[in-house]
Amino acid sequence: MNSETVAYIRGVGNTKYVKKAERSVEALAVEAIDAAASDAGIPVSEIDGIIVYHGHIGTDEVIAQLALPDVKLRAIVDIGGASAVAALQMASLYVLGGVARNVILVRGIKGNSGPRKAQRKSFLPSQQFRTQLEYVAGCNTPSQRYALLCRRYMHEHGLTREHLAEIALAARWHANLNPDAQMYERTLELEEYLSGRVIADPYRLYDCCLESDGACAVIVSAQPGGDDQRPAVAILATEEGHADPPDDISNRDPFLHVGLEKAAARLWNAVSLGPDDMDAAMVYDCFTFEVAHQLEAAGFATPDTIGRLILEDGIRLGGKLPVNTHGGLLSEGHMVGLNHIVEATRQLRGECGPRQVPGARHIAVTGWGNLGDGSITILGRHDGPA
Amino acid sequence: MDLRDVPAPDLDDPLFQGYWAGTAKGKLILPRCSGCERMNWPPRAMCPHCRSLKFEWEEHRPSGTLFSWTVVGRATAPGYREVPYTVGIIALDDAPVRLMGTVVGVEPDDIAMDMPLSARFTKAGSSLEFTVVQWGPALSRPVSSI
Ligand SMILES: [Zn+2]
Repeated sequence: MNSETVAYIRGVGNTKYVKKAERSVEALAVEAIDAAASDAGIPVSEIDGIIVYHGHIGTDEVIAQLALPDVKLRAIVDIGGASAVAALQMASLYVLGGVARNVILVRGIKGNSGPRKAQRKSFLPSQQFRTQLEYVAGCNTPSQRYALLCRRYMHEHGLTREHLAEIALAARWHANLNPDAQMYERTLELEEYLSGRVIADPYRLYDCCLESDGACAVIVSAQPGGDDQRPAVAILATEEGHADPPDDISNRDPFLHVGLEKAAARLWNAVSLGPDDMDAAMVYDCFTFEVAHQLEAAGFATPDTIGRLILEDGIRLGGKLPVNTHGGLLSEGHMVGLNHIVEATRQLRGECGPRQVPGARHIAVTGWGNLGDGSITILGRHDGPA
Repeated sequence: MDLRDVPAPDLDDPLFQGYWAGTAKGKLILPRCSGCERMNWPPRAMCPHCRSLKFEWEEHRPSGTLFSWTVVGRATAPGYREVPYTVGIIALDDAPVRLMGTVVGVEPDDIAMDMPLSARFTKAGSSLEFTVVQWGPALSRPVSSI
């Protein structure tokens, strides 16, 4: 979606991300929502739309815990890690269409305290294919499925473990500058990265996202929420896309085709900006390789240049394209990508202290989910009264 | 590899019934659309190309090449407790179809992209009630094993 009239990210909030929280998921979510409302300058009672995600705190729990008086819509966007960014599009349409005034996107989970990922209910599409084709072959996790994509990409495009390592190390470097990050006080060096135990080779321990306890929230509104002191953050354009077919990875042609390619093509076509105009990118990083894959699919590199972008041009602060300055799912915490939107918002307001991208005006945020669904948004800074 | 704890899928699912009946006999049998003659894999109740609801089961040569693979180091899948093991995607020699299956009989370090593989039909399930296709270094003819 792109239009002359845009919606804004009016407020953001989060808890600290930890391996294991003592508080309930409701308490975590309420802290994040309170923080987002306070950041937006509105009472919590003015939240009148909610978009959540499977396995995280649900809409009814949010309404009940906060005694929200007049919620006008609730929804689940269910394309895995692509959901948070895709939900920005839905929220934008709701607030611009006058259905609701303040739509909140929420993630809240005790991911590490509950059942481990592999034992949780799968929300993937076409469960019949999972049981008939994958489980019988010993394949039942995202790490295993995506490792199959990673291996083929490495073979076809010359991506190496060095590239994957830099994605993990850059994420950790950034997290070490972020006091809310689960890995704030834990550095990661190449040697330790390389010695990580095999999860699903090429993925080793440090190629894989964290499991986290915590919550974050983003309020979307037609009201900018900025003032003379604080720039507003506009949702300039958002797109989602689906791979052909969306429900199986084994027989795509080309094999490495993903939904983000379609979304990004529409996105760049809709705005007068290109990948080179982005001051940073928050890229859904469930595993290291997915960052490389999405940077290419989103137009930041080609298969020939992706290696150079990562290792030479640079994806750390100070590099050509700072990626995941909060530490991402790999090192900040696993809030299914909503934390990427929180970080982009704060970067555009200039609130990120030691990890600030100087003068950031435009940031792209991507989502990647299920078996190759993709989403992408461009957030932009609006200075002064909107 | 003991596959007795691998949960059996629905062997009577109409989209997969011919496939499982085939593996039980040591044959690789896949669906071909009766309307446009394309092969749809995974199988679909309605052909996405021509919307035909009919398909025929057709035997294929149980051989192919390794298109991609992962060496699983952390056990997560029911029935697959022993690690490491290898999951591959195999491009069939005589059909434009890729199948997922475990790769057996080759050490992880010796696995190579595009290596030729042939099917091993291996009994699985608590009462060995179904047969999975595993893939090993190419042989002149397929081998059945328990
Ligand atoms: Zn057909």
